[in-house]
Amino acid sequence: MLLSSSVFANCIKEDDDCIPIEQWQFSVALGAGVLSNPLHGGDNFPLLVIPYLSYYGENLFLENNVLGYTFEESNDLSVSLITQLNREAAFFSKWQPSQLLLPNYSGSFEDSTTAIEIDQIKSRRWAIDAGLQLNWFPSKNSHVEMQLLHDINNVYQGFNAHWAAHQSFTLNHISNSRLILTLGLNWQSKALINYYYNDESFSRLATEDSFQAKANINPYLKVDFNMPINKDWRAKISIKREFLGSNLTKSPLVKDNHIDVAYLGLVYAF
Amino acid sequence: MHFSRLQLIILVLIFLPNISFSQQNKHEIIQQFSVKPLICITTKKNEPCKMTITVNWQATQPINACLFQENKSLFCWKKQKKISEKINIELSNDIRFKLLNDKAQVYAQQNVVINTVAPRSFRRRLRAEWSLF
Repeated sequence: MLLSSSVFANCIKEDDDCIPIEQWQFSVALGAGVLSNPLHGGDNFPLLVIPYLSYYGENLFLENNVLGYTFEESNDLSVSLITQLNREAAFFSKWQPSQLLLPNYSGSFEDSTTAIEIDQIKSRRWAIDAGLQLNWFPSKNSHVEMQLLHDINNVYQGFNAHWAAHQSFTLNHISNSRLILTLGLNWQSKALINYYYNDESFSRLATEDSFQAKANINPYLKVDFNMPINKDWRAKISIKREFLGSNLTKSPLVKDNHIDVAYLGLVYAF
Repeated sequence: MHFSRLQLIILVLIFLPNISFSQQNKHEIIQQFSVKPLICITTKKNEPCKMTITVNWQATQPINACLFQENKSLFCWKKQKKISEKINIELSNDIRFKLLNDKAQVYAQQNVVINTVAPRSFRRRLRAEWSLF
């Protein structure tokens, strides 16, 4: 019998890619890791205990800080409206430099630096993004996701977009283990870069090299490894490096040219 | 005019072969007609069932023909002898597909039904699990 494409043949049992409908899932990762903060004077985020909450209804879904509604779904494609917290303000929440030292090319042929007191720099608000998400599943082990988002609480009044391709592998010599490689891109509009990484105080420097906000692209690579230990526990290793685009690293606020995430832990599923 | 029963039977016997012959003639132009799949399967009750059907037909001579989903025209062909066409459709009920000539006479027809299967129990995960920023 030939079936129509509206049969969800890809998900017939629970596994890493398929999640039961109308069931809350809660798990906690216990381990050690870090999320680096690329800002001058920004503290890194220690990752010790990470909660994970998810719920998938017939159309609605929740994955930690992402809330979505899938309005079109076929065997290999999903289209959803989503809302999520924008990450950029997180870096400023752990930002405590006393002052910023900015290069100053004043035309005197002598390079010097200018100090900007931190209280002269405006604080950054958390933005809530909303927009469209596309998920394409070319095969059982591959997944391409795309998001185009705009802030809905008038913070940076711009867009950001995300594209990622995930490919998973099973390792023959480690039973039930799973390795997921991800290649991704984060695009940030000029308005986003201007709000988070530019500042009025920079304009006082009025130099040829003063920072001009422009749209930016950060490519990234990620490796995840999961290995079940027993019914409730599994081991998890996650490593990610995001390479910051030059339109971001040129900002006087940014020290590093990358953001790293590394985590090694045990996950307990309730 | 008054016919006896015998006369009536003779009259029917004279005209019947002609009537059935003309109908057969019309049908015989189409050697083959099929719509596949014959079942549209959905997991949601009372929601339209979407699928792509493949329509195949073959005629003994080039003909003008239109495919109808009940009374709605889906596709028309001019002076074609053999067709294989993929068409996206949306069904709310069981439906009859008809191939008509340009005088709206039925060449051939095929029923397609909707089946609702049990609601699915699993969905594809739409975000990477434990994605940290």
